[in-house]
Formats: sequence, structure tokens, C-alpha cells
Amino acid sequence: MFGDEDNVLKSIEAGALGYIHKDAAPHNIATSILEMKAGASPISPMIARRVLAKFLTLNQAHAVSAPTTPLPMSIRPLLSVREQEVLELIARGFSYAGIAKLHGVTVHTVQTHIKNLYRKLAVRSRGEAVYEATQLGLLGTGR
Amino acid sequence: MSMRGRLILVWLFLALGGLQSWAAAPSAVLRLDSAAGEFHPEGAATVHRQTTLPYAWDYWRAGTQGSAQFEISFPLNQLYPDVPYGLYIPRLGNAYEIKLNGMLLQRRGAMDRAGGADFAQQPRHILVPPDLLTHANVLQVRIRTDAGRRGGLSELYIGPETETTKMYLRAYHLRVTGSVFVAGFSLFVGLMALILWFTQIDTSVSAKTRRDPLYLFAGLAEVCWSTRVGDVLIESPPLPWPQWGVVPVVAMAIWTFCMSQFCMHAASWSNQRGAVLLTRWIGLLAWLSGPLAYIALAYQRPLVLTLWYALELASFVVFGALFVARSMRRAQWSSRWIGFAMLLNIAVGAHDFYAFRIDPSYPDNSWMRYSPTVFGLALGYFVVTRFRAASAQSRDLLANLAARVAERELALQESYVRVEALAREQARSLERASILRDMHDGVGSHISSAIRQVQSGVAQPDQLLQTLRDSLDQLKLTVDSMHLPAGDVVALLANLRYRLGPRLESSGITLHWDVDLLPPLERLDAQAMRQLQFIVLEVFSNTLQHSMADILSITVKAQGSGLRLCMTDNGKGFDIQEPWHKGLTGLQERACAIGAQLSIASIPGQTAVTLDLER
Repeated sequence: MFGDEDNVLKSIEAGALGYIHKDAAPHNIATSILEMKAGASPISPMIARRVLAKFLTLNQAHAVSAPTTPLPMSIRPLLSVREQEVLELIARGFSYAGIAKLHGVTVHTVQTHIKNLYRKLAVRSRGEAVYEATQLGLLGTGR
Repeated sequence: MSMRGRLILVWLFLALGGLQSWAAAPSAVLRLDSAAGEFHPEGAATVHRQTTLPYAWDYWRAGTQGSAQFEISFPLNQLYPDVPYGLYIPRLGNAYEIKLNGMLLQRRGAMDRAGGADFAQQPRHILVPPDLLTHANVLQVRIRTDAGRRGGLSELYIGPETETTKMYLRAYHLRVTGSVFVAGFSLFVGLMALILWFTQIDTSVSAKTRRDPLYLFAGLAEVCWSTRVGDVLIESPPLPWPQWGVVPVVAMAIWTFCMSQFCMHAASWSNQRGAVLLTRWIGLLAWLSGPLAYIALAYQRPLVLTLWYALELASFVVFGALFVARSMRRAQWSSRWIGFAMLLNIAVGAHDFYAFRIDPSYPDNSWMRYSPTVFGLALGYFVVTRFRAASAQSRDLLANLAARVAERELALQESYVRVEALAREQARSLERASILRDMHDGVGSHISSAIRQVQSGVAQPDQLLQTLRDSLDQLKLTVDSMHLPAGDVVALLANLRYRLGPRLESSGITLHWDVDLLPPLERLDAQAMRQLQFIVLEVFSNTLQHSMADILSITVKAQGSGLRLCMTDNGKGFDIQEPWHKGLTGLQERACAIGAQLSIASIPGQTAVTLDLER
């Protein structure tokens, strides 16, 4: 409901594509579900800020480790330029409509960007889990 | 000269880096000590007399000046010696002329004029042409003497030049080289002591006693002694005799006075009654030295000077006895050294007094010129021990200081830790207080309103719902503000929009959002961020409740190093001249608290609230 960005972020990394606060009005809950089904993903400025920060650190870590140990996943362009711009605008408080207007695209495109972001986060964490598991020898040898 | 005296001299000379051991005159050299004398004292009748050499004019013709002629006959076995011969005369003058068998060998100084240069200061060595020597030879020595200037003729030595040269050089080194050494040493020590006196300033005591008089007295004494001994090296003095004769006497008088003061200060004796009396007495003697010496020399009363010397000697015998007795009682090595030096000097002084002022002998050299060197050494010892003590003290002081600094540092560190803990505690309690205030003013008041609405029984459910929603919004904003990055105004606005945007839109207000991405204003802490949140919230709720506007535009732009936040609606506006509502006054107060400029402009159709935040 509040102060729970950590949980939201963890959920997204675990594969969630959206979230609904428990204080949301019943008609809002319905709207959110419908929107998500239509391909939208909600994101608050706070979450956007956290996601942005997360990608930036990942980028740096990747830049440092890339030359020697290429990670198993194809995550080279962690964040496209457009995705980063969208994230920054959300962090600055712009609405989807505002962003769409600024970039001359439809709201739907903006929502797609957000959804992609969510996926990347989830893929990234899932990939890491597989990589770690391989390193630890928890997975089989391909049989 | 007694055997013991010679031994002391030899010891001194060895100590000073001088000659080898003393040796008796070799047998090949003839010692001539008998002469037929012819004396012409001024203002008295000429006297003819057979005399033995040495002949001291001042003893036999006390207080007069004049001239004398000595005829010394000596036989020689060989007619023409096959080695070069030399004539060595330990002392003669003040002016002189030497003839051998009627042939002039050497002449120094004016034979007919008194009071000029003094050629009796140094020993003489003259090469004798072998052709001049026969079986029977006659040496004619004429001298001219000034009163009280130690004129006369010593015994003479003639023999193979190699032998006489050795004797001459020995005497020359003792008198001239030794004097140069002593004068140089004394001058060096004296100047060093004066420099020490001038530079070693004790700033911890009153202005009068800042400099140590010990160094001053030692320095003056050594410089005076240098003058006294250096007199031997000056054959043609800058002043005529007898005026020049006063200079060495006064130099010695100042030396004795300064030395006595040096000894007293070195033994910390200068403030006692006996020492004060002695100081006055020796000072008086020093003052008298000049006039008395002048009377003795110019008015031909040598006894006056003898008496003065005797008084000096007697005074120093007393002083020395007292000093040594005292320094033996105290176990201070520096003061014992000085006592020893003083005893040595008194003994040597007594010897010289007897030899020069009482005995008829004609000594060629004073012992006294060497003995004060031990004072210089004592001073050196004194300075070295002092500096050792001083450096040990400063080392102690430094160690002490370092220890204290370390102690202080530790204490400081501890107090830092305490202050830090206090500051943390204070920050915690401040934060707690501010959260409590937010709870009370925001959520608390809304919940109270909700309770009153329920109790009144007339409130509509949607009104109650609205109140509860408001209270939840407040709570969210309060929690959000804790998570906001410090000073990030853009994040704060974005968050407010996220929380309140739906309500504004449901009230039919369209938000125009024009917010630039600006770097955080570091000076805004969590408390200030909350204030800012309240200001924006207040503007939002005013727009919602009173303005009847349908557009609210929020603009954030960089302004100088800070930023400008504009919130403009197109509502009905209000008269800003009217007494302000409580809400508006609160806005001003909050803006003031975070150091921001708040301005409100309102006309029907446009109300603008502008907030300028400097970096």
C-alpha cells in the first residue's frame, strides 16, 4: 500500500507484470485488471526511479565484467534509449498520455515499453538464478 | 727559574702543541754573563761598573729612563770557525745596537729618542760572519731604555749557528708563537662568549636579567686577556710610552674583575654578602688601575704599580681561598674546575709578581700569559654541560608535550564519539517528533473528523469515504516522504502527482505537467522535503476545494543555481489583499522555514503560486 517498493520490485523480478494496491477502489481494481489484460503495466514514479537505478547499476556491473566473463544471457542492451527515456519521464511524474504526447506515439506504445521493462527485469533475475545454479552444479549436465 | 717552574712551563707548552722537551744549553755554545757596564740614567751621573748579566734596568735604575753600554769580552779557541756562528740574546732593549769587534751587527729602534717602539718584546738571533771572530773578541751592546718598560740586557749566547738557532726558536715559540696562540684562542673564546651573551635570551624572566651575565663577563675577560697577551706582538704601539704602558695594565685589571665575576656567577655566589663586598673591592682596584699605572709610569713611581699588583694578588688569594673552600663543600664539578683554574692562576700570578716586580732577575717571559687558558677551557666545559642539560630538558619537554597531545587527542576522540552518539540520538528523536506531528496534523485529524462524521449521524457515506481516503492519502504521503531521495524536488512532485492525480482528475481538473529533470537540492533535508510536500499539497487542496478551476499546470524549471516551481490554475481567483486565510499564512511560514521565496498572484481566471528555491 505504501513504502513497499521493495516488494513490488521483487514481484516484478519474479515475473509479475503488474500490481494492484489493496486500498484500490473496486472499480479501480477491475480497471487495472482489464488494462493489464489489454497489455498495460502500472508503474509509480517511485518504482520507475528504483528500476532506473537498478538498470544503471546492472549496466555498470556489466560494463566492468563484460570483457572477461560474458554473462550467459543476451542482455547486452539492457535498456533501450527509448525505454530509458520513458522511465525517466515516469520518474519525473509524467503520465502515460503525457509521455505519448511528448514522443508522438500512442499510449499503448508507452505501455508496451513498460511491459518490456518488466520482462527484462524478470528475465534478468531468472537468468541470474540459472547462472548461479549452473555455477553451483545444481542443474544436471544436460541429460 | 726553578726546576718545577720549568716543568710546568714544559707541560703547558706540550698541552698547547708547542715545542719538545726542555734541554740545557749545549756545551759548544758560550754563555756570556759578565760585562763592563757604563750607565747613563737621565738626570743622574754616569756610572761605570763591572756587572753580571742579566741586567734589569727597572730593578737597578727604578723609575728612570736612559741608556747603557755593555762591553763583553770572550775568547775563542778557533781563529776562523769552520761553521757559521750565531748570537742569541733572549732579551734586550728597548732600543739597541750590537757591535762585534767594532763592526755593527744590528740596530733596532731610535738610540737617542725615548718612548718610541719597543724592541725588547721578542728574542733576537743574529748571524755572525766567521771572519769577524778572532781569539779575543769584544761585544759592544748599547741599549736605550724607557722607565718601567722592562728594558735591559739578558745573558748572551754565542756558538755554532745550528745550536743558537735552536735556542732562539725555542724562546721565540714560547714568547711569540705561544702569545699568538693564546691571544687568538682568547679572542675566539671571548667573541663566542659575547655572542652567547647577546643571543641567549631567557624570555621567561624580567627584562633586566634576560641575558646571562656569566657569558658577558667571560667574553670581556677573554677579550681583555687577548689584548694583554697580544701586546707582546706589537713592537710599534699606536700610543707613545708611557701612555701605552697603561693599556696592558688596564686590560689585566678588567680581566681580573670580569674573571672574578665569571667565577662568582658560575658558582652561583654573586648574590651573597661576602661576594658583593669582594666584587666592590675588586671593582675599585680595576677602576684604580688606569690612574695608578699612569702615575707609576709617567711620574716614575714604579712602587705604586708594584703596590697595585700586590693588592690584586692579595685580594685574589683571599677570593681564591674562599671560592675553593666553598666549591669543595658543594659537589659541583664545574665550580671545582673553576676553583682549580683560579688557584693555578693565583700561583702563576704570584710567581710572575715576584719575578717581575721584586726579584733582580730579568725574566724574558711571563708564565701568566698561558695560565688563563684554563679559564677558557672551564668556560667551554661549562657551556657544554649547560647545553647538554638544556637539550636533555627540551627532550623531556618534547616527550611530555607529545604525551599530553596524545592524551588530549584521545579525550577529543572520546568526546567526538559521545557527540556523535548524541547527535544520532537527537536526529532520531527529531524524526520521531516530526512523524508524530505529521500523524497528528494529517492522519489523526482526518480520522477524528471521520469519527465526528459518524457520530453526528447526518454525514453521507461518500463524505465519510472521502475523509477516510484523505486520511489514507496523508498517511501515504508521510511514508513516501521518508523514502524520497534527499533534496529531489522532482521526485517529490512526481510522487504527489501519482498519489493525488486520480483525485484531481476525478474532480474534473486536468493537470498540465511540465517538469524538467533537475539535480537534487542537497540543502533540503527530510524535514524540509516534508514542508515542501505540505506546501504543494495545500495548493492542490485549495485548487480542489475553492478555485473551481478545470486546469492546474505544474511547471518546474531551473532558476539560477536553484529551481522555480509554478502552480497555476484557471479558477475564479481571490483577492490577495484580504486578510489571509490560515492556510495561506501557513504556506508562507513553511516556505520561510525551508528558505524559499513564495509569491502568490491571483486574478479571476488565473491564480499562480510561485516558489523559488535557491541551491
